[in-house]
Amino acid sequence: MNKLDITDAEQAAQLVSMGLRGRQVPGRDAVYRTLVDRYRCDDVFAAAVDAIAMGLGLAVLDVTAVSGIVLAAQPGSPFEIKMDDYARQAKLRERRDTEKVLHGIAHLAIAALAFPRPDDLANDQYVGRVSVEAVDLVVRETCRVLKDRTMTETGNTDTSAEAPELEQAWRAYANRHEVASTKDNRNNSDSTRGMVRRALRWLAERGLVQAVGEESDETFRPTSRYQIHVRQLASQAAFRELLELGVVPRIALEPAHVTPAAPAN
Amino acid sequence: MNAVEAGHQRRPELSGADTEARAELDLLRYAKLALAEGREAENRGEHDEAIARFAVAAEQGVGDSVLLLAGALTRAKRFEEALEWCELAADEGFDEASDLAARCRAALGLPAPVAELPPAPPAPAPPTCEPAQLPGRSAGLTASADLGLTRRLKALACTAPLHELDYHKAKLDWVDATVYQMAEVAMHTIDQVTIAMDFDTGAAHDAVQERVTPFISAQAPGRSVEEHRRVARWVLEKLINVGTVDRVFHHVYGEIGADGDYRRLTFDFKLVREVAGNRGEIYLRTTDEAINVLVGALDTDVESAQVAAEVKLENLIIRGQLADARVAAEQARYRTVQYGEMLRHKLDATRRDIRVVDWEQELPEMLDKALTHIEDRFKVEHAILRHITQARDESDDPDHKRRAAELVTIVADCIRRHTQLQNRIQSARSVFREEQDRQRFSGSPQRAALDLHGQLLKPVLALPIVDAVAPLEQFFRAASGAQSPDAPALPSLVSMLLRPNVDRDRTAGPVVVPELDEAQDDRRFTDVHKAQADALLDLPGQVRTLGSLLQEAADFDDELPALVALRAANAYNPAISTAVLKGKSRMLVAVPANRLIESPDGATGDDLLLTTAEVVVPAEEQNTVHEESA
Repeated sequence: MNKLDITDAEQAAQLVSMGLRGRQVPGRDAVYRTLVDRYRCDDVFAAAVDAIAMGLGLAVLDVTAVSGIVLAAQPGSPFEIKMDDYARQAKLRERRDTEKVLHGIAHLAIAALAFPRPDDLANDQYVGRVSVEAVDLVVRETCRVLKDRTMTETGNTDTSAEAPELEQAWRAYANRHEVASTKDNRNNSDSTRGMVRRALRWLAERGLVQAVGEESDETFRPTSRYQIHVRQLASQAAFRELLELGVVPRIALEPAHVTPAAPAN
Repeated sequence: MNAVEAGHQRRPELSGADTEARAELDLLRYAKLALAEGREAENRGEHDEAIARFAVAAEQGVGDSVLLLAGALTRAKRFEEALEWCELAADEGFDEASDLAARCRAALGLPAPVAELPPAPPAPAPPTCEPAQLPGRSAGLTASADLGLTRRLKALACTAPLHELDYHKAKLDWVDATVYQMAEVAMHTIDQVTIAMDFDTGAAHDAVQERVTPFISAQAPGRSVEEHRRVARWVLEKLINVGTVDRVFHHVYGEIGADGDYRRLTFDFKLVREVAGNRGEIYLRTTDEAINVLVGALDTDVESAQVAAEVKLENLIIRGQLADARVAAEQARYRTVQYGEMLRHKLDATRRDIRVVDWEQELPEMLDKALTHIEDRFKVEHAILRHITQARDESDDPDHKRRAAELVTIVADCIRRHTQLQNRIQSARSVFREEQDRQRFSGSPQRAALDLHGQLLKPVLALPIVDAVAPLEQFFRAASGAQSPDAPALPSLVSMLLRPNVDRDRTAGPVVVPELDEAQDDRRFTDVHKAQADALLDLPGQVRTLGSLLQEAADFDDELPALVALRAANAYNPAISTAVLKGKSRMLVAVPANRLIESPDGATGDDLLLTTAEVVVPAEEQNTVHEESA
């Protein structure tokens, strides 16, 4: 539209900084809303925001009136969240990989339950519901199905004692207890429900899910930001890994890579 | 010794030629004796003697004597003789013989037999690798001949945690546990949990402990109740396997695979596990493994075991063996619970995600099967119930009577559980239709997106852990957005680090006595007002209008009339019972005067006639009042 001056650069950086504060939404902040509107209308401003984000090692996934600016950290960026940091807080008495995989499954299952069908993931208006209990039950059921499948295929589901690292993920999850009683009735963080609960609270801290109902219900609804993260980036990244491992059949799928969202309209 | 010589003279192909010399029975007995003597001789290290004895036995083909003889000959380095016996042994079906034969041939430099080779002719060809195949093949045969081995090993493993309780009880430092039979307590605990298990819930920790404690106190009546409880808790925790990260019992067992290799596998199982109830409370449930250990019918099909248990029960009742019948009835009940568990799983899964359950084939079949099953069981169990009831009524033996009565309870419980199961099954299809409507028929696809469950979660779960790490880390990193890293300001960090330690006083310092301001008196009516109003409204034996009282009050100051008016309005329809309860002797009573109030300061409304009345309590009421107040 026009040339960029210093004030515009400041505003563009401000928009990026708002994206870093996960719980801020345009609906509750007039300044934010103005900036989002400007991003969507002003191409030059949008390019400036993208460039500033890029320089910080961030990619703009999308900018909408509901979610605000959705930023993803690129590998190596200071804003990146690593699984190692997340799982570090967990007790690591057993093998580290197992803990990481269990935490990862909790996160993936939350997304899978938040958007049960492909349509739900694609539909911006869809609002899902996730509860700790449901996530755990869905994964356990899937584990059971996989166990049945292994049983019919090989006739024996036990892992080799000589190569414990070949233990399948479903077995690790199914073997882990779902709840455990503690002396002071607190939640046990080693159990699968404890992990799911931690993941949901952690996402809630980042404004990716929101608690609904009573606290004891442990029910959350995914926010628009989370949907964009999962749809644009996370599911694709994980799927690409699976393709490389040759686990899922290679079907016609759009090449997935992080692209700065084109300004709408 | 002549027998030994005879053995040496005979060739294998001649065996059986001189059976006519002695009666066959004698020969056999003699041969068995020789075999036993041979073993003893071998244990003593007298190889020649052993060989001689084995030869006698081998002539008659007693037991594994042929094989033993071949082995002994090999050890004595008489390979040619050994080889002959080996082949004979192989013909008789001893797989190990081929291994031995291969060793003999290798020692003699003979090639392996290609087909039905006569033993004698030595061939100049160098030994090939074929003998090596023989042991492998024989191992495969051994494995395939013993299909139940793995199952039995696993079943055995399930009992190991119970035995370990007794091994480890000596290590407990808080109790001298020699009097307690921990394995029995564990069995009892599993019993209690299983019986309390229902479709929806399990058993609560405390309830199980309460129910097991009497059994424990029966084992050690002299000890304290506190100790009994602690033993119950200890056993329960050991059954849950508290203290390990995943609470799984691991048992390593070996199996010979399809390719003939021996491989070690880990069998993971649990006995009692903790599950979450509907309101977040934690319950105990026994696992299938535990139920199988308990029932004793290890690793069996649910349905066939049920049928077997009930047929057994019927037989027992017909023969009047009620003690055994009771065991069988309890087994039948455990089986019923197990069957219900299976159905519960499927229905829950349907409710959560309709796609993970095969509603086209698997589940309808299963429902039909379950319904047929229930129908059969109803017939059988009602028949049993009739039989036992009859047995109970006809029996004169009080012990029989009591046992039969217990059986009646158990079978009635079985029937109750079946009814419960049937209700579930009947509603299952409507659950499916509702869930189908809810989950599938809503909206049309909009744009391509991944199916998170089918295309990500399921494949990832099927991966080995080492492979699953990478995709999950990718997902986690991308789905959790960006975080703002903590950036400490160096100057403030340095100054914080360099700040000298403050010497802390051991006491918290002097107690500060707060200075309190006088509470401001902002009440509308002061105590003087109240006293004035009381005086004005104390009207024993006289009646005055509110208007005149207000006029009098207005002489005092501007606020008093308002208080008097309020008191008067309050006296209209007074709370007599409250006055009685509080023990007041007099109270103000107001009645309307049917004219408007005449007041100098502009008060409006009906005038009231006021008087003070005595509160009189009738005698009997007075008593109740006193009682109440007491």
